[in-house]
Amino acid sequence: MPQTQNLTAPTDCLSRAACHDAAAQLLDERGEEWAAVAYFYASYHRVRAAILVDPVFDSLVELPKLDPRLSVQHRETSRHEGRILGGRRDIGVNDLVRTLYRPIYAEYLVLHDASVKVRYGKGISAGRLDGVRACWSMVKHRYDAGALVWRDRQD
Amino acid sequence: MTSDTELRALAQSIGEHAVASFGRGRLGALSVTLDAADLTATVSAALVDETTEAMLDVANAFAQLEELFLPDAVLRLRFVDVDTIRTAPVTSRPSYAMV
Repeated sequence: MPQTQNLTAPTDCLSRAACHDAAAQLLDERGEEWAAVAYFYASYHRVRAAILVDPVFDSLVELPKLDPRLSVQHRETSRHEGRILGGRRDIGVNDLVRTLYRPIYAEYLVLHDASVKVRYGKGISAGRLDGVRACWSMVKHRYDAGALVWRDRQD
Repeated sequence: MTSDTELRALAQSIGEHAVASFGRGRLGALSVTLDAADLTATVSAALVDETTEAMLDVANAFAQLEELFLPDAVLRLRFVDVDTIRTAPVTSRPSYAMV
């Protein structure tokens, strides 16, 4: 399988999420900061599984109301963060979480930040890992409860 | 928005709004660095209280900040320590710092 292939089947995303769950827990038990990376990617794949089947992308009426920049093709967005190139804004998964799943957005940002810090920065403390685990647990709980589906904020 | 003056004004504005929305008393330091190539603004926040609860509060405020600047820039949030901001190398990029 090519190393850069993006997953486009929800079942594949969930399978990877489960793998990352297991890796995170093994590393966490040893107090390894890399658990934060696995906790983040478990959450990333769970969020992508939710996005791939979210009915909001089936509605050509609702989607532009949410954000005129959003289109059906963004259902398969895999890059983490957006960017603006040539006056055009690329949407990232973080943007989709903020727009569609606001109740988990803060937790998702904390997870992403911890993952970046472990991979590229100064790393994280054991105390910070407790918080990362709590954020992962919240995202997983919301997904398992079927709550990661866009609902109008006015509801 | 492409001129250097406008980009510097944008970085300044993002920084000032970030300090106001995160809460001055909650911050040990804050910096914004704007990449003109893809209009990505990295907001680095050093919190006085580095608990997860404090980070979640700031992340929620950040969501509103992102929406405020949605047409102009893509914002990224990074939690850092004060020394990371104080010892950051001088950049020629449009930037803002509160230390």
